[in-house]
Amino acid sequence: MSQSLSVTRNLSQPKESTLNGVWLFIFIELLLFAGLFLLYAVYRYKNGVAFDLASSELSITSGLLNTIIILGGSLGMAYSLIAIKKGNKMAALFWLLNTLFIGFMFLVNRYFEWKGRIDFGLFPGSEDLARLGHGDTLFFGLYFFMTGLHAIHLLAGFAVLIYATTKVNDNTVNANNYSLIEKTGTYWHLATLIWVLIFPLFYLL
Amino acid sequence: MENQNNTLSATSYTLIFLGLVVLTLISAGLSTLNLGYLSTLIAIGLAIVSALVVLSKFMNIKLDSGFSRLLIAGIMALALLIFFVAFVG
Repeated sequence: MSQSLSVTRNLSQPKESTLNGVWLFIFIELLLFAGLFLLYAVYRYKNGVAFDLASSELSITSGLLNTIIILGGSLGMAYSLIAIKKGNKMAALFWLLNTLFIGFMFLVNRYFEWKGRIDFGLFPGSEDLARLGHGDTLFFGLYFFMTGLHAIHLLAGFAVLIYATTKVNDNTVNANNYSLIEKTGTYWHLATLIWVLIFPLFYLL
Repeated sequence: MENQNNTLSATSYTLIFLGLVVLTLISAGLSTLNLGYLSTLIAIGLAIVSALVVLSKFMNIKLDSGFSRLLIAGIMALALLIFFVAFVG
């Protein structure tokens, strides 16, 4: 672990450098979302009152529920890594599928949250939103874009999880060769990390 | 991301998960109070604490390595920037 992130020391070790590749990818992902966070900050500065009012349209309970759900997903992912390290294939499969299910529940909750907003006419391009003004348009534009981009990351995570599950199932990934599960986990926790940062911006502030 | 002997036990992960849930609940509870700038600071501050816990425990970044220091400095700088741009002006 200590040398995990020091690129120079690991260049001679191919296995470690693929992990560093995952870290590079994650760093780029964080930069992508950092740009969006800055965009949010600038828009909020320019439309403070509208953002305050618009964020009260979102249900804190729903956001809170999703936060707890996605934290649970990370817990399941951590359990599956422990299980595969111990060579417990069935437990690893169980926790991987469990993580997949929890991620799915997150998206179900996201669907109902979006549906609620869309039923109220609060979606980009709607006439109701245009009537509310520029600030609300920006807020809900950012809300749909950032939560949507996060949801796409989860969908990509599903693909990776399913791939990892099949690899565990056919014994390619086992107690001696579990770096795929580590990489999958790192990516999955990235989705949690991003959500933890998005949550206060839209629901709490 | 070294592979040997650095995975926490299942109990530790469960406790970390519960800690994060409590942190989120506190953050949501405090946001219902009207504390002015302080409530913004608390919400962003607690989000950063949660993010650092996810980074260090779940993603297993060693928080004292050079790269992760850079990453954390970046996150902190970004958070401060967001705070000042958005709420102080």
